[in-house]
Amino acid sequence: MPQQTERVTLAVKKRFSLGRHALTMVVMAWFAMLILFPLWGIVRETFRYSWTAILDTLQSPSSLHAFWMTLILTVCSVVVNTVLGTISALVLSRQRFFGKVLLESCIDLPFAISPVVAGFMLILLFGPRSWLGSVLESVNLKVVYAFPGMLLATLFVTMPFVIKEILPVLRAFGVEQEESAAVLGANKWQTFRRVTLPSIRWGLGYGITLTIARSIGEFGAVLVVSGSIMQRTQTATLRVHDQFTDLNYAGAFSAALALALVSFGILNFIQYTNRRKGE
Amino acid sequence: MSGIRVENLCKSFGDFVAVDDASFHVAEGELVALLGPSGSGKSTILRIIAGLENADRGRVYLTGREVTSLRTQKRRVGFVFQHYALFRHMTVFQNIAFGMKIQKRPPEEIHSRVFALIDLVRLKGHENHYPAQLSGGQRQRVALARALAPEPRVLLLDEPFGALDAKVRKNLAQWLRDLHDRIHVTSVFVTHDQSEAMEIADKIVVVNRGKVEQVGTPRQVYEVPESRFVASFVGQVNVIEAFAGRGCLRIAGTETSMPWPEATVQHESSVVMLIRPEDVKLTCGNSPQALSARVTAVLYRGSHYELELTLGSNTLKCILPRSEMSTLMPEPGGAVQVVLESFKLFAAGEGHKSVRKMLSSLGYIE
Repeated sequence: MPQQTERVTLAVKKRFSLGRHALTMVVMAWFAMLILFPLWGIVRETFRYSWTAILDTLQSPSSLHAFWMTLILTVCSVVVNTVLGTISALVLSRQRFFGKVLLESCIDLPFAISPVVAGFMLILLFGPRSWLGSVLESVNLKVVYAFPGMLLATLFVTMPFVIKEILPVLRAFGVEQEESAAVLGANKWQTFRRVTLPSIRWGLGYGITLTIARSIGEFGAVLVVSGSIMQRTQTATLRVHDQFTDLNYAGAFSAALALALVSFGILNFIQYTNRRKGE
Repeated sequence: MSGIRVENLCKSFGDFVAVDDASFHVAEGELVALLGPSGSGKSTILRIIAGLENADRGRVYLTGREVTSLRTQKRRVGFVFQHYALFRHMTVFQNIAFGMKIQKRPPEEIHSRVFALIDLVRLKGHENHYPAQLSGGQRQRVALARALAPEPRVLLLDEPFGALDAKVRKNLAQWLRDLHDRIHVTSVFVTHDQSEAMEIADKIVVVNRGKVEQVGTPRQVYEVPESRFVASFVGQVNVIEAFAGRGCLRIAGTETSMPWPEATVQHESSVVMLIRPEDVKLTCGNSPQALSARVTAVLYRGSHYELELTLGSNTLKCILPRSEMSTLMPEPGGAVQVVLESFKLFAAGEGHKSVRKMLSSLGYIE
């Protein structure tokens, strides 16, 4: 009996094979054109320079500082987004309060607003000529053209990822399992850690991945807010742009390649763990 | 005082009154059914007992202690949800062990008790399975074991078999009864299925529109219903429009010599008469209390026959044992004499039309 079903599926496969292959080709061509060819272009351009040249430019103090900035920004935005994003999603899915609908529609706003505009908004709010900026300056806290502003800009563009990934999961999850944990004696924290968190962990993981990728890649908002000051407020992505406009192609392409590889690695890691979950 | 006592519970959701001054008592070791149609507030009462919902007014006592303002976590109740609410990312073992882990019991004790419970709910060999790998009946048994594991003071079950198909449901209900006879934990279960309540409960609390209509043994609520609702909701019932004249009843325009036993209805008023199908007796002799009816259908029901009769403008169901079938031989279209034994009278009050509507919506009459 199983043999027979196998034969049937084989027959079905054969009949549609032409159309299926054609579709597969279309998808592959589409991906190649958009992603693989540009990536390959960077690889090819980078390796026109010698290994020593590549390593030298990657190890220059400015480059190292830029990578360091990117790393810190990414870590900070991941931590803040994980904690506040999870809390926000919990509040939005569990609590009822005035203005909730309005608040929920704001989640998508960072997607809709151009990052450059977001950067300008931060300058208007915290810039030296603004009221808030002058107050903060008087206590020696510089926001714009400094790390706090860059972090705010990164947080602005990455805010939706964690919330949007876990909100539907939380809604589908419902409250019954949490109620059963409560009846069984678990307090709020125990319930969250042992019941709610394990149920949203895959969504949370994916949200964090997207946050990392976006933090690494963010350009517009951070550019406007940071001023891209070398060895001070320049992130790796800003440095790629800086070196490119300075016609320093070896530095630009090698830094770009390094960033692309890191992002690619992270996305593959999450794909891999997600696939393991399915088993 | 032990067991569960609720006093004057009230709970509203906005304008909707879910529970309206409900009071009842469940004795230690009893298995009690909260019976009522959907939306009657029975689940809300159960959730208030568990502390999952706060009452607007009223008190809850568990094993003699007032727990009204105690948090759910501290009440030590076992709760079984209609849709199981098992922890999906945990195995059967981990699910059952959860409550004891929270109580920080020693691992050896957890291990032995979980396996004892797995044995009790007949799930040996499934301890490493995830809920998704189990059938509905198995999941519900895991939920029950999980609720029992931390040794709750009382066990509360919210429509425990509601999501199961009829056969599994019946088996599991009987199994719950047997289990209860072995472990004797004070239990309350919510159901809208009156036969389920009749079969396994020691006591039934009939709830309608947030009010407790009657508390009694299955036999009491079936044979001595205290309200029209109880009479009609518990078991099948015929509704007959009648008129209470001076000392005797007028049914379908015929003056009968039937004495009317209760002082519950006023003289010279329209009444509604409720009578169980098995209390409608066919007779061949000319009893002074007999009424003529017409047979509209004779239906074979295996152990008995079911007759549909018309009595004036009323439709009447009647249960006829097979032995009587052979002597009386009623045929569709034929006339028969019926005697109405042990009926209940209620004032037509709000109008029998509304009673009829309610009963037909519940599926008791066409």
